[in-house]
Amino acid sequence: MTVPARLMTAIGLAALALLLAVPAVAQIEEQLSAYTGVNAEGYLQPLSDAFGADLNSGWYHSAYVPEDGFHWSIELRVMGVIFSDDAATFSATTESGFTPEQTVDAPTVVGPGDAVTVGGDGGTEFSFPGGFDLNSFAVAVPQIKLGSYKGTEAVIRYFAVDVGDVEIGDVSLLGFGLRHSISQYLDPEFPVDLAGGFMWQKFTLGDDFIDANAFTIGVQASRNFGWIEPYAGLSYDMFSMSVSYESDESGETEEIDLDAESSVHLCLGCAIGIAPVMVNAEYNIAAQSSFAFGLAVGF
Amino acid sequence: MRTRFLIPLLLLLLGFALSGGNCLLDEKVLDIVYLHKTCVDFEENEDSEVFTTPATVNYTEELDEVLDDNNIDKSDINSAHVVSASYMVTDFSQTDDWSITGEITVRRVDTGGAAVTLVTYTNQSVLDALNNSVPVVLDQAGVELLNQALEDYIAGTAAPVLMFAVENGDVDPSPSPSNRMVFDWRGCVAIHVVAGVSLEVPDPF
Repeated sequence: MTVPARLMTAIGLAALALLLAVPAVAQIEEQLSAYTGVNAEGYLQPLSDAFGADLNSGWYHSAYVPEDGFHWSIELRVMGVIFSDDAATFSATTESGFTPEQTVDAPTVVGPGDAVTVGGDGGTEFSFPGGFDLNSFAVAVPQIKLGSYKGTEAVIRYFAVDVGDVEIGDVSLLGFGLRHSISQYLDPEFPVDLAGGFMWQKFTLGDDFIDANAFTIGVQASRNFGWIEPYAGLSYDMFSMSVSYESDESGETEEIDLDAESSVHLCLGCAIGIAPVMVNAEYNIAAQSSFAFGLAVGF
Repeated sequence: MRTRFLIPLLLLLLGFALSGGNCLLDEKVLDIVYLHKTCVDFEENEDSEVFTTPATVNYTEELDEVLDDNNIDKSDINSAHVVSASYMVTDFSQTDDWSITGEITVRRVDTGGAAVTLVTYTNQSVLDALNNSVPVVLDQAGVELLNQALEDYIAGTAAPVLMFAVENGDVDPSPSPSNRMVFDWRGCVAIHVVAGVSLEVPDPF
C-alpha cells in the first residue's frame, strides 16, 4: 500500500470515528429533552468546551512556510481532551413545576450515568438524567495544506457526510486558515522560524441541532533539527456553539447558546519525520487544555 | 530503507492514538429521563356550588405510548414517579368571574378502591386561570396512588386505569339555573420515567 493510500485509510478511520459518534449525539438530544434553558446549558457545557478546545488545536506542526513554490500536504489530525472531575457535575435546578425548587449537583453530559433523584412536596420526585460517563472526547479531521505565495499558505479542513438518520441529519465540518511567514522579513540567521495566521471552522450537525464556530489567531515558532522539529504557538481562541432540540416540558423547540469561550492558548509540540511523512504530537494549555496528534504526507 | 521502517511505525503510533490502547467505542449505561404529562379535560356547566365531574384515563395506554415514542422496552424502566401537577382554564367567555373551592380526586378503576385527594384548590379565580397554567401542591395520598399505579405497570401486575374527578364544594358567587357557571379546564399530572439505556460511545483515551 502506498503512503497516500495508507493516509487515506487513516482519514477513513477518522471519518468512521465521527460517524460512530452520531448515535451518541442522537442520545444527547434525548437527554436534553428532559431539560429547558439553564439546565440544558449546564448539562452540555463540558462537551462544548472540549469541542472548542479540539477544533482550535492541531492545525499546524511547524512555523516554517516556504516563501514561494508549490507545496502541499494531506494531513490527519486527532485532537482530544481528558475531562477533569469538575466537569462531571453541574449545579442543576428542578423544573417542570416541581416543588419546592431545589438545586443539586447533577451529572453533565460527560458525568456519571446514574440519574440523580430528589424528593419534593407530597411524595413527588424529580430526576436529573445521567451523563455518558466519558473520560475523554476526541475529534479526528482531515486537512489539506497548500502553498506558497509570498510566504503564505492555506489550510483547509473539510468533512461532510449524510449519516442517513432522519432524526439527526448531515454532519459537516468546514475550516479555512491562512499562515504567513514572518521569518522572510527577518535575518536569515534568526534562530527559529516564525509564522502568524488564523483558522476559522464551522461544524454543523443536522439542520440546526448543533451549530458551532471556532476561530483562532496567533503566532508560531519552530526550529528544524533535521528529522525532529520542536514547535510552539501562542494564540487567542474563540468558540461558540448553539443547540436546538425539542423539549418534553414545553413540547416546543428550545434553542440554547452555550457560553462563548475565549481564551489565550499556548501550544507546545514536536514533529518527527522524514519527507514526505511527518508525525507530530502537542499539548495545548488553554481554558480547556487538550492534546493533539497528527500525520502529514506531502511535499 | 529507513523510510520504509518509519512509515508503518508512524501509522501504528497514530492507530494507537486513535484507539487509546482500547477499542474506539466504549459501552456505557446511562439513565435517561422522559417527562410525560397526562392531561384530563373537564367541562363545567353548573347551576349549583356542589358538583362532581369525572374523567377516566387509561394510564396503561398512555405509558405504552411513552415506550413506543421513545423506542424503549418496559424492562428498561428503572423507576417512574409523579413530578408535579397543574391546571388551567381553557375556555371561559362569561363576563363575571367565579371563585371555586374543591378537590380533584383520583381512584384506581382497574383494581378498585376508594378515591383519594390529589389536588386541593381554594378560592381559585376562573378568570385568573384562563390560559394560565397554575402549579399546585399535590396531596401525598394521591401521589402514592399514582406512584403505585406506575409501579404496577412496570412490574406488569396490573394495567392501570384511573378515574380523576372534580369534587367541587363551594363557588362564589353561587351559580343558579338562571346564572350558570360555564367553563372548560384541564388538569395535568407530570411524571418522570427513568430508563437505563446501553450505548456504545467513542471514549478513546
